[in-house]
Amino acid sequence: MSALDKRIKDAFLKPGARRWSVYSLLVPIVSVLLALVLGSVLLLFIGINPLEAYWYLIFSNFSNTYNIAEVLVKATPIALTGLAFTFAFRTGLFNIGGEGQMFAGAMAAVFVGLKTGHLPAFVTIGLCLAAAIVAGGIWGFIPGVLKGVFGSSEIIVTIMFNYVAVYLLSFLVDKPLREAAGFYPQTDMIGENAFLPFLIQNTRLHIGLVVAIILSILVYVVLWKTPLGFRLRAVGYNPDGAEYAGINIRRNMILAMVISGALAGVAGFTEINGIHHRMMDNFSRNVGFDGIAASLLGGATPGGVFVSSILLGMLQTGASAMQRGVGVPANIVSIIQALIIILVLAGNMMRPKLEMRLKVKRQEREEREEREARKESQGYQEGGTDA
Amino acid sequence: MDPILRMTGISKYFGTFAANEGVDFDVLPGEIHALLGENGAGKSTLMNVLYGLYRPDKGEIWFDGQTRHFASSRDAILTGIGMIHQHFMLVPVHTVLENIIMGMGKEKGFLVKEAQLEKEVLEIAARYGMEINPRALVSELSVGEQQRVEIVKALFRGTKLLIMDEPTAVLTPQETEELFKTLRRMSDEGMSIILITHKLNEVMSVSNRVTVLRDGKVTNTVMTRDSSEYELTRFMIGRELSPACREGRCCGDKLVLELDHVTCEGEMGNHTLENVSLSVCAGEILGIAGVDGNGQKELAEIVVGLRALKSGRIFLSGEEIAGKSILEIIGKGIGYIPEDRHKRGLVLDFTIGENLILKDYNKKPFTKGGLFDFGKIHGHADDMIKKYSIKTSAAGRESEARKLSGGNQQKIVVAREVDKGPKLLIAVQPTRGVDIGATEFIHKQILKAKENGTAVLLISTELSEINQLSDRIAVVYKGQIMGEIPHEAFEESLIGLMMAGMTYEKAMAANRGTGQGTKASEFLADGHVPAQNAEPTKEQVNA
Repeated sequence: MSALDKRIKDAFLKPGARRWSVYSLLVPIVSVLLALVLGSVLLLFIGINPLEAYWYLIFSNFSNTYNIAEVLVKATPIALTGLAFTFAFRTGLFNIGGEGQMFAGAMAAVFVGLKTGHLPAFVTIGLCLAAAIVAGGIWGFIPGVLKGVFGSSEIIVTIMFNYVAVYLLSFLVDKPLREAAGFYPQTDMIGENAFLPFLIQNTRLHIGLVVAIILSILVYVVLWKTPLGFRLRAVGYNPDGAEYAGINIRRNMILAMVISGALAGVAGFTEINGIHHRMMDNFSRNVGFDGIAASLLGGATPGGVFVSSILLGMLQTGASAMQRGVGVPANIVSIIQALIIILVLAGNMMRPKLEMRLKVKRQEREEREEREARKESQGYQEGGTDA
Repeated sequence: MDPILRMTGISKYFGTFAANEGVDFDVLPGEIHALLGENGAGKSTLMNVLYGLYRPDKGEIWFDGQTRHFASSRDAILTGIGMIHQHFMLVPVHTVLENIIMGMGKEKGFLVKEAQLEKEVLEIAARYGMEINPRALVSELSVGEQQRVEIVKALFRGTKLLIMDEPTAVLTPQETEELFKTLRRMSDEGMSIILITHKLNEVMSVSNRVTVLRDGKVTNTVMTRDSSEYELTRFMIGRELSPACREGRCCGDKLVLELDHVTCEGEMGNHTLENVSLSVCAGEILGIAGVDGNGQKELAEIVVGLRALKSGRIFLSGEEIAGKSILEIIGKGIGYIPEDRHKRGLVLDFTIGENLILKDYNKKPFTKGGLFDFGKIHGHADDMIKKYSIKTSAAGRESEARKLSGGNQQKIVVAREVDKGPKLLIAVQPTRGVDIGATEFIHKQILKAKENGTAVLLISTELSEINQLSDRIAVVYKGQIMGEIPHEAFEESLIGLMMAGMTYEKAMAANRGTGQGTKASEFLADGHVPAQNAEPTKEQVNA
């Protein structure tokens, strides 16, 4: 690991911040609230009542079933790319390529969906999912090999691979996979059998949400309850120590990147088969990066990632309501999201100090209580002798 | 004579933890006063109180004629207290002179009067018999020379009492001797020196008086000449030390490890190991002595497969293991205590329990049907914590290794590597940075393993450790084995000469020629003579 890589990683999540404590909850919650406060200053500048704006931002999401479902629709791919980032991060790798891996998965899913859409639903959906996993996995495998075998920074390579995926997608919808009508730069619809079943009627909420929940649980179990996860985490925390224990560092780094890429690939599958049912240029942009944000906000734990992705989903769907309601540009939400990230980072940096202070305070209090208790008992004794 | 420093009833608490409690401590003018204690006994806290870095919760400091309240280290420096930390506070890109005058206010005014200051600095250095070059860059100096700069810097500030925190930890034996000469000279000139240390031989050789701290309290203050290493140890750890001791040679005839003309290349293409042939039998401890960095690490790493060898063969119980994967080699029953527990031996962010299964995480009984069996893992952790008396933090077996003391971290490694009863145990610097109590414990574990029939390859730079445990001793120098002697023939001067690059035969001749061991060690301290002698020896070997 190069020194620069290490510094970037430490800045994102200090080793101390990986452990569970009160601050694991406190830091993200305070960060979100503080980001909203800072955002309100911005709103005041453009002459808008922040309370009114935030009312729309938050409560519009709960006004009806459709809106609630929309939040979950937005949250699903973010949760999946967040899981992808989390998985790699726990093994000491910084996979910034969730975006590209998701698009790789989407391209594979759409291709298979177009070719096999006439087959029975469970067959074609299964094939699409498998194709997305493989494609996302390959998109993680290449940076993984470059990292494991040649020592290239996975940060740089995965960022570059995002561009490769985005422009490959552009090319595909422009030429080889362009719709039969040839009008828009987009593919034809995939076969209806390949559509993911909806969870709630008359909403866009599809079964992809269930996939995301299952994968969250799976990631948790694999990382913390299995020898495979033990191995991967050992490599992440201390590659030299892992090597000493007979763990193959290269193989496990590559494996981690493949699994991470595959998780992001599934996000491409749910977006194509669940929402768009076709692929167009510029669809679902930034979901890969939102996943990184969710992972960060969620303390790189699967449960935290899931909750955070719902929060980000809320902000994003609420943003359009806010725009309609009070005429605030929806982009303000991007600013708030960025503020949250900065504040979480700052909180994680401060965390070791805060924890230390908390510990000292607790000890001092215990000591004082003990001393007072001793004094009291002494007082009783003295009283006793007087009498 | 009135003391120059008197500290009375000093107490310093961190939370409920008493780092110092009612400590009385005084230093006479011109005295070298050793402050002795194990890691965490409160030596550094006491000195930080004196130096103004901590404020005491209770107690008084009386220095140079009056009661003092130091609000910061600056106050302490101004009254004439100097401190040299273990890690030097020098600016590497500045010259020696710039470092010495930095922050003194003497550089005030538009121009620095360098020529004059240089003269003053040289005068001070000369007075105490130290050689320094004020114009050299600090980055170009050796560690010993940097320490000298720190001393001159302190003297230049008019220090009357100099605190030195573990000054020999970073020095070679020769540099240590040089430093002690300087300290004696300074004490002759009336300077008072506090020497913080946990090394008994240093206390005995250089100090006038010793104060021993244990658990934040003074256990005793004695004149060095009236005391002994044995007595000081008792003050220090509060009980009789029963050093682990080997009992005769019980070497079986069963050959466990055999290295056959092993050569290994470093990153630069140089030979880190050259033509090394060794063998270790079951129930035997082979000690490898040598100055640090002469191929010891490489020797351990090629056996366990962490490093590839260029030529030669390695056998474990008759089976060739060179070229096999680390995992395969470990599986054949090798325990390995690596020299760097932070880098290799532990995953510091893992808990004690996780570290204890670092090599067995995917084996029964810890894994069942692809999932961890946490009942078994926790049970194993509890067993080991008890058996190896590992002091955990409040979180018990869930404590992260990072939060434990060095001795307890090392106990985790030892427990993991020794408890399975390996065929071969490789122990590299098993007690580096570990307190006396834990050292004693670890030595006993190694001896116990030997008694149970484990072949032990002990690699250490501490001659006393080698002497205490080994049945046979081989000396390594620049990647070559200079010779091998049985424990019965152990003689420090002989080993010393071999460590400096003489073959066994030459060293024997030189040792006999000079007659006394002391003379031989002077010969060694010189350094150059044996090294020159070694050159033709090497050619002879190659021819």
